[in-house]
Amino acid sequence: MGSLTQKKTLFIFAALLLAIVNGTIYLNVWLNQWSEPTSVVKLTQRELSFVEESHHDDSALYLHLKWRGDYRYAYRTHMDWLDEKKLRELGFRVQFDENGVLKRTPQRELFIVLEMNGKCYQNAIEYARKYLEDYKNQNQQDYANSAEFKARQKSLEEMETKNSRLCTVDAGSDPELLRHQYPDKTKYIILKGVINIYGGTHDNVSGVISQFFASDIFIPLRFHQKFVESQRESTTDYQENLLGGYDKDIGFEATVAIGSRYEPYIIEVK
Amino acid sequence: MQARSKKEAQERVDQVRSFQRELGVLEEEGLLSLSAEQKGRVEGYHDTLVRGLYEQYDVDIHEKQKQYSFGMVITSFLGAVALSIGLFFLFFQFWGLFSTATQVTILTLLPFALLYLTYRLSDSETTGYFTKIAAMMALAAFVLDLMMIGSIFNINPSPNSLLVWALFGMLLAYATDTRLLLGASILILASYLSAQTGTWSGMYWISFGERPENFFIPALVLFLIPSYISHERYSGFESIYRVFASIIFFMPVLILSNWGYASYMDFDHDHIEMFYQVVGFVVSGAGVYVGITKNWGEVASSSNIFFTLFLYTKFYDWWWDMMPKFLFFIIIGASSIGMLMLFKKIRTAILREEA
Repeated sequence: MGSLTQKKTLFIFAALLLAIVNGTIYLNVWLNQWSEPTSVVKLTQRELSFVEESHHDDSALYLHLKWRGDYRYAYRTHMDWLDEKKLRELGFRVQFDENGVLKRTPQRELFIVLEMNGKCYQNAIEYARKYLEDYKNQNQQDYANSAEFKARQKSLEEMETKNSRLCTVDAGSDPELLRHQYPDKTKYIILKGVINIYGGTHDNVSGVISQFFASDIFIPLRFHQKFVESQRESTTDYQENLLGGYDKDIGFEATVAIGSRYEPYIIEVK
Repeated sequence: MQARSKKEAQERVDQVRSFQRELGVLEEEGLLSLSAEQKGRVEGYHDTLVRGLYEQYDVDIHEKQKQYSFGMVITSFLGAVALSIGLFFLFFQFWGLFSTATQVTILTLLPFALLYLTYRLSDSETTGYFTKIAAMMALAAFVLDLMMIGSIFNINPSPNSLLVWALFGMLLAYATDTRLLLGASILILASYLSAQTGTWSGMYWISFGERPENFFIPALVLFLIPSYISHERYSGFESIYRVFASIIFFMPVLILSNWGYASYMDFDHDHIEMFYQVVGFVVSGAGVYVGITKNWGEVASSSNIFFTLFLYTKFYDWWWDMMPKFLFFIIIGASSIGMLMLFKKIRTAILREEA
């Protein structure tokens, strides 16, 4: 009888555990979405890539966050502001062995600030424009037909019309301090992410953003129709995006809120 | 003598059958002869005992039953794993077609439903195979629950999900006497403890695997659990704890003995590797001794395996490049024979001691 009572008690505890865990999660979701959001921004297909799953076993749809490291690099990982000094401020133990080679340092979970259509993005356009002008000045005779000129021209065009306007600008362990430094909630998003150290010696140490936790934003069913309709209207072929996957050329604007727990959710899509 | 677990009950039945076979041999040899009354009483006692144990624990009474039981255990294991994986893919296939409210309802209620099914089966079923399948699926449903809710609401990942999965798995393992569930829960718990150890040093918790030393404390905790908490009523739970604790300890030591770069220690990598090689040999050797002394067969066996792995890894380091391959493998084989002879001597010494 004792054994049966014990078994029943274990099942009751298991049920209680399920109830408490699920209750806690939903409470946190409610707190995240019903308290005042930390940011509300309008992002388009330039910042949110609608990427269908490459396999057919998953029917969910997501929007993938696209962002730039800084004004020079289209690739998202390199950024000048995340230098050795900043890494030490963020709490990384940047140490070198007797040969001057960087010692292994574990990656850290931090809050990262992204700027939407701000100075960083404007600098990126200016950089691409100067890059084009430099080529014209160096090849005044016959630049118009060269492949290099056309590539640089296309690069500028994409920067102005297609590339993401989201740019990482800062990081820290205290999100409230960061919000104090970047108070505009419609222009600056603060998200949780992981930063790692990159480089081998004193001269080339910099930080790398390994990932954002919220880089794949789930699309609720009520917004699916918008993407289905956009797919029908799309006349362009698939084009390879910087992530190596394929974007459908879908035009949309999504209002994304970042909740009090720094977890994003979609408010509206048009 | 009352059996406290199915394992004990099966051992008791096996003991009775061995006794009956040995009695038969002794009678044939003319060494022992029981009177009709004595034989009747012994047989009556054994019949009642075996029948009682069969009704309570569904033990195997005959050898052929054992063979079928083994097949059923394998089938049950494969079924549990396949159904659990199938649950995941089933949900992935259709969940995008449901509204958020429907998704949340299904995800939340499914673990409760499977938990209730497990409870009902555990009450009505004596073999326990279907109960174990349902219990595995209940754990799979709980894992799916947290993973999918996290995906739907873009929740930042946390190591606490590992803890609650481990706790749920352990509660079910103890409720249904399922070693497979216990093993799975131990691995999840070890991951959680390692992740927590890692965060204390400031690292991102998911990277806990990059520092093998994070697993040492979990291994020690797991090894000590059966020493402080009695598991008499559970079949083989103590062995599971000790085996997994051994694996969770020795695997990182093996990795660090070849890749000192992954250590927290701030020394020359070669020195770190040497240190862990010594640790590996000493602790595995001690494990064999403790396992034999305390009659913990699983500790002796797992320590033996890792001692051999450490030894062969050293042989590889020393000789792979400098000698012909055939000679290398002959030396490996010869060392195995040497170890066999050593174990045989130890075994004989134990026999003399017992005598």
